[in-house]
Amino acid sequence: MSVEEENVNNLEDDLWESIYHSAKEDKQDKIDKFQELRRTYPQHILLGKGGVKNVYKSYDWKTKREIALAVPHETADNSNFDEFIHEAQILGHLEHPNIIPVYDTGYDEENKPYFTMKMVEGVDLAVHLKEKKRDSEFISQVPPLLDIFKQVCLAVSYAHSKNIIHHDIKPDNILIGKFGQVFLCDWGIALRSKNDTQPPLDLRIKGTPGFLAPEVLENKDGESLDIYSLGCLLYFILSGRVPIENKSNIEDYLKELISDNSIPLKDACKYDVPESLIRIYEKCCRPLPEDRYQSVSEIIEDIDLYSNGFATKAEHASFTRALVLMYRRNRLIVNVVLASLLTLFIFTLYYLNNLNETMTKLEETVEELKKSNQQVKKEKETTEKYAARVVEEEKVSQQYLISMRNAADSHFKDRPEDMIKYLEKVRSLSPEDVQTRFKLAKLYVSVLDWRKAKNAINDLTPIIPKYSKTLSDFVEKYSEQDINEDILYKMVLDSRKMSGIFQGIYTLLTTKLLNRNYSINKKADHIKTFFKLDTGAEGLIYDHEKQSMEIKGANIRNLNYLVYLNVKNLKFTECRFGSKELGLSNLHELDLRTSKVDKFNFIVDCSEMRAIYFPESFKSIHLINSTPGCTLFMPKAQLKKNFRSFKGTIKFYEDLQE
Amino acid sequence: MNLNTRITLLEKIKSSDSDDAWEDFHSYYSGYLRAVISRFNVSGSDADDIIQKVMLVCWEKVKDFEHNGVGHFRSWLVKTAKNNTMNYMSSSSRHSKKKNKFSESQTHEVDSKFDETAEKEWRIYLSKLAWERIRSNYQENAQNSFDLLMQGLNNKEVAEKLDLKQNTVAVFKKRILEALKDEILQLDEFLN
Repeated sequence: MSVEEENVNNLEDDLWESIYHSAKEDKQDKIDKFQELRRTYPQHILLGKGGVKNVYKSYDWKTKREIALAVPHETADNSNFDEFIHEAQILGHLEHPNIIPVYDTGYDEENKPYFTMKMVEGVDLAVHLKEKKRDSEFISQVPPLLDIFKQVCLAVSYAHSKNIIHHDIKPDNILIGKFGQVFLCDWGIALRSKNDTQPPLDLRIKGTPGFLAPEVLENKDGESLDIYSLGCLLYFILSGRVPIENKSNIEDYLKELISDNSIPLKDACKYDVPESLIRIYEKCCRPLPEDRYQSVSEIIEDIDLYSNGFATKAEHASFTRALVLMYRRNRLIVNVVLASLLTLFIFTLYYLNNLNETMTKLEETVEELKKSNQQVKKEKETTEKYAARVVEEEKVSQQYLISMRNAADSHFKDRPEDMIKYLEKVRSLSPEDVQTRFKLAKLYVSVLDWRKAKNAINDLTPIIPKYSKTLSDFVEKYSEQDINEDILYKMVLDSRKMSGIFQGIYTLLTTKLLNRNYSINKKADHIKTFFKLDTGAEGLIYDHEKQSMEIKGANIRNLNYLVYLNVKNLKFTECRFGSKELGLSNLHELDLRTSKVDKFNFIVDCSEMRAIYFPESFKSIHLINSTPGCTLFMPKAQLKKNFRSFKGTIKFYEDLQE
Repeated sequence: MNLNTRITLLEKIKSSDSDDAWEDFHSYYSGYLRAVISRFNVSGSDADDIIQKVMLVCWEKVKDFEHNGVGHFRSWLVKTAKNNTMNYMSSSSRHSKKKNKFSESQTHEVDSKFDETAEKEWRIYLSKLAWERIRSNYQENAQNSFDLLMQGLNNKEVAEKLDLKQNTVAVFKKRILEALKDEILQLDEFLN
């Protein structure tokens, strides 16, 4: 090997060697650092001593909080280390609100193990209970203590679910925090049941006298041990002592245990301890494990039942007892219900009583009712009939009324007084009929009965104001005046001016006037005026001595007035006739030669007729009452069939002119 | 082979005595011994002979060997190897009528410096072995970089030679060194 090569090799070798050294250095660094990490936990004041450990108050600089540090006794050796580590491991494995959490474990610089856990300020249960006096008022303090007991049970139940038996449940191992937290501590002799390898010798009969179950003598293990201890704990809480008094050593204690020299809980308590709780304790501490609760959760269940006022499973409650408890639980509601039931009952009785009385009253009234019912029925019948009849009559009377009114017009044509009487009767039958009343009003005016007229008009004013006004004006004008022909004449003329509906008045007043006895010349004048007004006659020539009237150029509708003038000879010159019948009587001579007559309707009564001079042309001819003494003068051409029955003489103008 | 269990190879041999264990044993230690011996210019068939003999001795005596701490086995192995080497050296000189293959000064050197050399060689051997074991975990560039570095080049030179960035080379170096140191420590515990 050349020197160069050797140098190169040496260089490389050195490089490799340096890596090795570097590796070793790093390792040492880590170890040192780890060593440093170990020394984080100072030991402050001593909080407590356990079987193999001391617990100090400490401080964790990393999380900046107070913690508790557990280290083995100074006198502890390796075998006790095992127990210490064992507890740390078990505690680390469990996570429950009632079990103190472990934060850290490790070895210190002297290779002694330690572990840190949550720091809890408080006292253990033994101290906590010491202050309590178990007098009659103690019962009120039981519920919070039961709550503590329940929380211990919860921790144990949880541990059992992880197959860990505590083995050392007692008041000294229960920590009550300042703010009411409950922790089950000292899991040093807790064991994994079934899974554990051979336990160290002594541990199997380790426990605390007073809380130790009898089957440990037979090397039995299991949850029943803890359950027994819990029972003793309950006993202790309630009475302040253990079932079997502490003996100085375990052997003596176990002797007592076998012979079951326990003092009943009832006697141990100076106050009235609830029956249910006694039963729970007894069920926890039966000599044989099979007779006890089979799991801690059952204990919790019964505690809850008791706390809520129900019957516990331990006491095998009878029906009555369950009922009593139910009452206690729901005192308020039960009382309210009972009270209301009672009131209801009372009211019912009262009501029933009332009922009886009213029953008898009812029966009486029923009878009466029956009677009045029948009566009512009858009345109803009659009323119905009556009503029916009335309706009938109504119908009848309506028609009757109308026909009566109509009849009145024709029947009492020239007899206003009779018509009045008649209509008054009609009015009395149906007073509300306006037509009747109106007619009557007009009639009263016509007959100058001012009083009745005024009354009638007043009645009618609200119904037919316009017509009533017309009437009342008329009445007012003439009612104060004396009646003479001049006044009447005026009245006639006035009434003529009224509307057509008042024509009746005009007619009647005219009649009244013309019936009066006054100078014939005046009368004739009057008639002339009327006639002219009526017919539009151009001329009216009246000869009183000859009893003849010549009417010229009129529209003849009626010839009423002629009666008053006692006309015997009537001559129509260039008159026109309406289709109405014109009543003519007492005429001797009728001259129609220059008139235009289409229909010859107007000759009704010709008993005194001597001569009728027919016009040039006329059409139909009405009935002519013939008298033998009457001569008819007509153009030849006008001879009609109707004249065949005529018994008088017929002469023709053509013949005469010859 | 998984080194994570804290059993040493020795314990393994003692407990199982399988052929696999022996093979491992042979491969690990013979290589080491060969390296040590070669420092004293003993090589080739001579080395083979010595090593073979040492292995035989191990095989006989390993069962009775009580492991008493770190490095105990190896020092025994070294001692055995030394003795055997010295015996071989001296015997060969005795038996051959030719000149001594091995001079007296050589033997003396072996005597005085064997332990020291063995120690140094152990470190080197272990480091190299560790590298051999873990190199396949890295990409070719990384492997090449490290090889070159171990030839004495610096980062810059390696980067130039392999056409890499200097930064990359630095990263490779760092990563590999970390793993390498871990492996060395483990091997040390396993084989020592």
